[in-house]
Amino acid sequence: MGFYLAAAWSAITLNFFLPRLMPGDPSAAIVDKLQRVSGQQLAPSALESIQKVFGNPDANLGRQYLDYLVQLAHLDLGTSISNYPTPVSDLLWQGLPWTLLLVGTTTVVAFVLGTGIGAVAGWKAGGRFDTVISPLTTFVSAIPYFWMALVGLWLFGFLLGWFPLSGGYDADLPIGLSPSFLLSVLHYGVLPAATIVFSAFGGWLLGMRNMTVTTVREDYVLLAQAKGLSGRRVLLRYAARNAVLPNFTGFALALGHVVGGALLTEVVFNYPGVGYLLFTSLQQRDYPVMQGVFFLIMLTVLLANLLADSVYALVDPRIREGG
Amino acid sequence: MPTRRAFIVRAAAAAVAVPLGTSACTAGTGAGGGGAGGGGGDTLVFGKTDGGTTFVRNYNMFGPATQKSPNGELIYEPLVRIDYSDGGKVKPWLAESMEFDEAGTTLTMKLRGDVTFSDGKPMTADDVVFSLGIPLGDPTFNTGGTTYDSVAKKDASTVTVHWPSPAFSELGQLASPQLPVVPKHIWDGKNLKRWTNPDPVGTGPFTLTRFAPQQVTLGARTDYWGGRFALKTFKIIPTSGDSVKAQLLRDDVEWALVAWNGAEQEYVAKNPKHHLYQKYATGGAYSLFFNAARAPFDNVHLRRALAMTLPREDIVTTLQRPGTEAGPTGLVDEIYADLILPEYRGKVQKIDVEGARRELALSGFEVRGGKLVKDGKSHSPRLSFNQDFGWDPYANIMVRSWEKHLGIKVKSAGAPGANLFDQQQTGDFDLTIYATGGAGVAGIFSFLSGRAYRPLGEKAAANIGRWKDDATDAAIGRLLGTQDPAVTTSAGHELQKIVAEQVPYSPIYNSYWFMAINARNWSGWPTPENFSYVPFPGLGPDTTLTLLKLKQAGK
Repeated sequence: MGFYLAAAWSAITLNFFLPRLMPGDPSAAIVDKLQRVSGQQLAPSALESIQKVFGNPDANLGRQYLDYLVQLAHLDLGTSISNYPTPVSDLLWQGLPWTLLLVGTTTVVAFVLGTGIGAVAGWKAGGRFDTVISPLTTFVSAIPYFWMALVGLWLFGFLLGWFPLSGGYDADLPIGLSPSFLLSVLHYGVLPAATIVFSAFGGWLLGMRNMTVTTVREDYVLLAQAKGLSGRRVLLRYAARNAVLPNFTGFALALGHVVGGALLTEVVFNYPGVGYLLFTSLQQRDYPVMQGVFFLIMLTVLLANLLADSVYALVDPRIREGG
Repeated sequence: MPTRRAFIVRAAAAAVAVPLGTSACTAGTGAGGGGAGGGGGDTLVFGKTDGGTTFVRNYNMFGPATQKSPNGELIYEPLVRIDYSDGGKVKPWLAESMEFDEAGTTLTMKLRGDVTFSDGKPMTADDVVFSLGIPLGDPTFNTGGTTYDSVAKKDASTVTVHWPSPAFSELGQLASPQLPVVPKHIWDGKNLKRWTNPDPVGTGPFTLTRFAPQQVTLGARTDYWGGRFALKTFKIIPTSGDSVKAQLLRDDVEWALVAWNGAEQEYVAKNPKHHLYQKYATGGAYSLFFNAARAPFDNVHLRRALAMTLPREDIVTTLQRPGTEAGPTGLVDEIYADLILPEYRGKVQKIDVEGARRELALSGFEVRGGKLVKDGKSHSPRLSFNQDFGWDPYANIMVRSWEKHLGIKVKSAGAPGANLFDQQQTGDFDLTIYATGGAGVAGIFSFLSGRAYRPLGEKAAANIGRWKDDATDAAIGRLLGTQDPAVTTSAGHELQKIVAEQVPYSPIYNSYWFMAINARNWSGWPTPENFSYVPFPGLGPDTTLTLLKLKQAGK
């Protein structure tokens, strides 16, 4: 537990100082954006007043750090600069449910799918299934995600017209739990979700396949087969159960990264979520938002780690014995 | 899983290039979204390409937010507008008339009598005094850049505004969308550092009907002072520069601001009647800036030599916007033709190798191994530019041209936008690309004033090249200090000569608002050949004028 507290404190501290060590400050980004939106150069007086307010966020860093800690202790994430005066927590709440839904679901689906197929492929390594699926997966994993997403959108959205071109839901419907709205969420979500699963499941598959290949050669698997247990039982209860351990660790960590969002998906499909929020806050040096998102990511990563540590013992009894 | 994460990081870097870059190939794939299912009926759909993937409900119009709720300028209106079809002149909007006193420090504004807020209450001098007073109280709310120091009510429909120095040419600040007239009876007593004004009430032609993070719906008022709309509903959906192309082609979006290389073949040619792609000069230009405060570019001959070998034609060809090369004065022909000196009017600056070599010789610098050497000191200049804009190819074209014609090896030094702005403002560069422009001749040139000068290391707001010149200051003083057209014209001529001959900066290509319009449902759009307002969905009054004239196609 002490480790987690120390990790949390150092992450919170880095979270405060790192953005401020980056060159540039919010004023430059505000000026840049205002000029691009209007197509005009800002008046010198406007520039000066922006610089006065946002140009020197490094002033009295110690004091700011203390304020930041006090704020965090009250679970107050501050006010966004690029969306002034909207509170950071409002921005997070707006995007987080979508991110959790899309990235969370797809992470689980990709893991289950990849690990399942990987176990089957590894069980009969060199068999017909394996010789087709493994190279194919390697090939698919090598395709850059954004390219695949663009092609998917072009094919299924633009040419065939099966799916909407952008957005996370039918914006004409009132947001709520009505069946028609939920259906629209599904309709809008299929394509982005499919591209994420398609690009991510390969990693799980190959990892699982390779682990299974080594595990099936173990003596205890041979023993299980010698006992006359069904192949299915040997695969699931004996070989796969051990082979899944490294994948499982990876899965727990991947869950921690879910809140970071999927920037590329959001950009390509105009999907609402926190990925784009993080991206723009970085670009605009919007320190409070950056801190808010990083804080959330940090919390979930630590939580996922804690969870992994605890659940690991259930999955792998040997750990319990080692105490 | 380190490999997977490394992949994501790399892919993310690539993605940044996709939406922000200007490459034409991504356009061709037709990648992109749609969403709101198009317009039709009495609805027009606007695809907002620069607002991210979701909107935030924030109608705090005065705040420094860069991502306010979209098209707030259809709800809140300014007192005046800038007419880009008429030399960038400032014209009345909510004000009925404006008059300066002789000194140019006090402006008397008569307000329109027929303006009401959308809650039915009339707009009065009290509302105007209250609104103009907001930036005076706290610089946080002065992103519009106002310079007046007091506002007072004269009578129920007259307001006076006072400036500390003559402001004949600084009226444009009242046209800023960051300085609208808001209802005092709602805004009074609100803490603007907390209040996001979620239910906006303004004088503008539209009211907020519905706010969803991925779609904002505005409804046309029937009691708008400026007239009635055929249009009932204005929908705004978030999209990106790439997505919107497919949405326009699929009739999902009808109006968007998008720089589309190859729009002629990919869009207009597909349906010349309904697919319109237009460009309107903003009056500004992307320019090469010299750091005049330090060697070697404190040397005028060297500045001239580099400006003469700027391959403007190659750059605009690469940008696929031929014919947009900037003239030498910093004033754009499309807007300021009448004010530009005859010798510079319509002039395209071709590469002049002979002239450039002559200037290089006059500069006293020798080129040794690509370096500039003088008095035992050698300089390797760097060209700092914004990587976020995908500027690398254009920077390289310039660097190659200078090496080929003058032998000078300039290093191209790209940086992300936020870093670059820091370098520019503190003067930590030799050569850089920066956008110029503003309302009217004074708006364009006033940043060269000594008032805006800051020493190296200190942040300069606009005079990043650190130009300091008595003749410039005198001309700017005359430009700002009078409204006599004879004086302002001659001062403007003098400033043009300074820019063209002393080269504090050298314009490369003119900047434009690029508009893509799908006129299937709505006709009556202006054209760049014939317009009295720009159909740019962010210019407030111009947006209103555009929408007022739209008629349902086929009716």
